[in-house]
Amino acid sequence: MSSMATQLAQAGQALAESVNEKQICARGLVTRQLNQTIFAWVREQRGGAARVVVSNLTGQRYLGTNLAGYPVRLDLYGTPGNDLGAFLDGPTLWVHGNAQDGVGNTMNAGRIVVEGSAGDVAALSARGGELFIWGNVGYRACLHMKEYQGQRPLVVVGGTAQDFFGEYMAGGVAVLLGLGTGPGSGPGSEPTVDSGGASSQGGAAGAGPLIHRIPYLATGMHGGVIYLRGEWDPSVLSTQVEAEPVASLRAEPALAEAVGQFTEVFSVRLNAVQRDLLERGPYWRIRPRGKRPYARLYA
Amino acid sequence: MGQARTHIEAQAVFGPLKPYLEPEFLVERDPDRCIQCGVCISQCSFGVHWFDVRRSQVRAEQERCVGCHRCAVFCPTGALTIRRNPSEYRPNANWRPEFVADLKRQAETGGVVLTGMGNDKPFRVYWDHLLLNASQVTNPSIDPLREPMELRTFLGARPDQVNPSASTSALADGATSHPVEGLPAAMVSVEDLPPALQLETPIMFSAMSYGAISFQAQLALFEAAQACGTYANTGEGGWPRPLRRFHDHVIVQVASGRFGVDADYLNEAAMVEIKIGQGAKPGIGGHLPGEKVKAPIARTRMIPEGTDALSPAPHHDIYSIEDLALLIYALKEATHYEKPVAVKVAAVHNVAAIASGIARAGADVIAIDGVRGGTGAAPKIIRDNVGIPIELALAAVDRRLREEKIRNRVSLVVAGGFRSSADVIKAIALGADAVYIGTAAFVAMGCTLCQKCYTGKCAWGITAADPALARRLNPDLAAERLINLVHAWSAEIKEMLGGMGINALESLRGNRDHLRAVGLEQWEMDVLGVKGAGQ
Repeated sequence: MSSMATQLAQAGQALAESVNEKQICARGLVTRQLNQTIFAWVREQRGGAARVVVSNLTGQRYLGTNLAGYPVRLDLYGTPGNDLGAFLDGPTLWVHGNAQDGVGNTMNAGRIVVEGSAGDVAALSARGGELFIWGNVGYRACLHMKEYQGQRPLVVVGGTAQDFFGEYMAGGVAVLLGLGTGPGSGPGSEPTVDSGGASSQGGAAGAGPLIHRIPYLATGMHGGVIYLRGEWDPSVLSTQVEAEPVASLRAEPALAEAVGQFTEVFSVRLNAVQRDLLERGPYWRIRPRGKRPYARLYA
Repeated sequence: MGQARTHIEAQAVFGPLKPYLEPEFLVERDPDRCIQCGVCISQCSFGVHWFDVRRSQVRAEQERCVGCHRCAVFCPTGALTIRRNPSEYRPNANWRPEFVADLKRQAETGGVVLTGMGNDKPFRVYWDHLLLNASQVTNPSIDPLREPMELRTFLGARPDQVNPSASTSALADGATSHPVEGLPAAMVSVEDLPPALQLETPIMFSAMSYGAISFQAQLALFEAAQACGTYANTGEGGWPRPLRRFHDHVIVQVASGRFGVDADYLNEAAMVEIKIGQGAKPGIGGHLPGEKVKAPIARTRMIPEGTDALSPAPHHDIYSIEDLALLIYALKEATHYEKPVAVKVAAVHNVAAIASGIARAGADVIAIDGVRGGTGAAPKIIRDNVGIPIELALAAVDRRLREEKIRNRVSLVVAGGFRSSADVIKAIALGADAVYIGTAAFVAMGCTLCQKCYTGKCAWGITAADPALARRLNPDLAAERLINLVHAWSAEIKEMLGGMGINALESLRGNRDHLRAVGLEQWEMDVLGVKGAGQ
C-alpha cells in the first residue's frame, strides 16, 4: 500500500463519524459538469475526509481524475465511463458495478475497487495505487506498469484477463486469482480445482481445461511480478520471462499481502469455495529473466 | 535476439571482430604550433588524443574521432585541424561510402545503426525554394526601429464565436466542450474562453528530454524560454524538481512511456503535450538504455535505476481518434480545463487527415515535426527514410483545416530543421502559428552536428550523460547564447515583416500571397499553395 493511501485510510478510519457525505445524481450531467460538481463540493471540505455517493452514472468519464490529493471516497452506482481514476492521486473510488476501459490509467496513488468486471487497459502505466477487480479484466491490462521508490502498484483481479496482460511491465504486482468471478460464471461455480478440474470456461480439445487464456501474457516484461492462480498455458510466455510455481502463500509475502487485501475488500462476497481456492492455490509467479531484455540491440 | 546471442557467443570465442573501417576524420596537428599542453586530451570525450610517454608527444588515435571539433576550438594555439578523411573507395553512385560503412559496422556487430540529430540526406528543403515579398511604391514598408512590430502569438483553441455579453451561467447546460463530441462550443462567453499560451515571439524550444540532454542543457533552455517570453518543452523524460521553478514557461509531454507523469507534473506546467510521434523517428518507440538510467534520471522519470526506459511505439490506450480524444480530455480534467492540450505528431503521408482528426478530438494545439526533425537517438534507417518534409505537411494541414472550417479550433506549431529566421517567417506565411526549434538551439549552445548524441559522450556537454562532461555546459552562458539567438531571429523577423508592410505577425499567418516559389514543380507549388515567382 502506498504511503499516501495508507494515510488516507487511517484518516478515513479516524474520522469515521465526522465524514461529510454528499449524494449526487449523475442523470443528465455530462462528464465535465459531473466532475466539476464533485470537485466543487470536495474542495469545500477543505481536505477533510469526505464521501460522495454518485448514482445513475451512464458512462461519465474521468471520475476522480480532478481530485488529486483529496482524501475523498467516491461510491459509484450505475456505469462509470472510460478512464475512471485516470492519473488518480489519492482518492478511493468504489464502483458498485462494472467499469469500462482505462480504469486507473497512469494512476499514482489511491485505491479503486470494481465490484464487477473492468474493460481494456486497466492500470496502464500505473506507478502506484491499488486496483481490485472482482470479475475479469479486458485486453492490455497492467501494460507498462511501473514502480518507483516507495510506490508499487497492486492490481488484483478475481477472475482472469484477456490478451497482453502485463505487457512491457516494468514494476508493480499484478495478480489474477482465477476464481470464476467474471460474467457468465457464478461466484464459486468455477473450478473444482484438483488435478486441473473442470473449468466453466472450458478448453480447446486436448489443451486441458484452462482458467487463464492469455496470449502474449507478459510480453516484453522487464520488471515487477505477476501471479496467477489456477491452470494456464505457459507456452504463451516469451523467452524474456520465466514462470515458477509458488510453494505456498506464506512463502510469498507479496502474494499473501495481495490475496489478503482482496479478501478484505470483497469479504462480503467471497464464498467458502472461493476462500478455499485462494488458500490452496496452485499459484504461479511470472518474472522477467533480466532487467535488460533490450540490451545489445545496437551496432 | 537469436542473432545477437550468436554474436555474443562468437565474441566469447573469437573476441570482437576487427573493424573493416577507416577513420572518418583525420586529426592534423601542426607541429610548429602544438605546445604539447594536453588541452586536446582533456577535452576529447571520445579518447582520440593521448600522450605518448615514449615519444614525449601528444598523438591522436584518429579512428575514434567523430568530428565534433571540441579539441580544435579549445586548442590554445590553433594547432589542430579536423578534416574528413579524403581516402576513397572506387567511385560508385549506388554503393555510396555511407552504405558501405554502415554495412560493415552491422556485419561486425549484428545491431541496428543508431544516430543522433536530424535527417542529413539531401532531400529538397522547400524553404530554399520559397521567396518572400517586400513592399515597393504601392504600399509603404515599415521600419521596425521606429514603429512597433507585433510578434506576440497566442496558442490555443479559438471558439467559432465569442458572445461578449453572455456570462457562462447564461449558456445552456452542456454547451461547453464535451468529450464525446470533442468540440468546443460554437459560442462561448468571454469568461469561458479556452486557455491559451502567450508567446512574445513565435519561436519555442522543442521537446528534448532530460536523459537525452543534460540537466545543464535543459536548465539553459528553460532559462532562455523564460527570458524570451516563450516556452520550452520537457520532452518525455519527466521534469526535474529543481527545474519546476520555470513552470510558467514549460510545456510538459505525455508520451507512451508516461515517464514522470503525475498530477503535479500536469498541473504545474503551462501546457500539456501528448507526444504521438517525432519527425526523426515516426512510428517507432523510444528506448533509453538501462546504463543511462542513473539515479537522477530514474528519479525524474519515476522508474527504478538501471532499467531500460521503454516508450512503446504507440500509446496503448490510443488506437483511434476517439481514444486520442479520451486522453486529451483526461488531461483537461486532470488540469481542471485550465491548460491547453497539444498533440504532437510526425509529418507522415496522411498528415492532413490526421490533423483534422486531432482537431476534432479536442486538441488546442497541433505540433507537427517534419522529416528533418532532430533526435537524441534513433535508428538511422528510420531517421533517413520515414516521414515527409515539414513545409509540405504544414501547407497540407493548414489548407485542410481551413477547408473543413476548423482551423480556428487549433493552433499549429511546426518543427523539423528550422535553420534561420527566414525559415520561421516562411512557415508563418504557410500557416504556422509558431515553430519549435531544437537543432538550432543546440548549435547556439556549441553543437557541431556530429550526430553522436546517443553515445552520451557529447564533448560540448549538451547531450552528455557523464556528469563531468555535462558540467562543461555553463547553463547561464548557454542561456545567454540562446537568448541572443531568439532576439536576433525576432529582430530579423521584424525586419522582414516591416519590409512586407506588415506590422503584426498575425497578419502574415497563412498569407501565402507573400510567398513565391522558384525551382519547384507544379505539384509542389500546388501542395504548398504558392504561385511561382513572377506569377
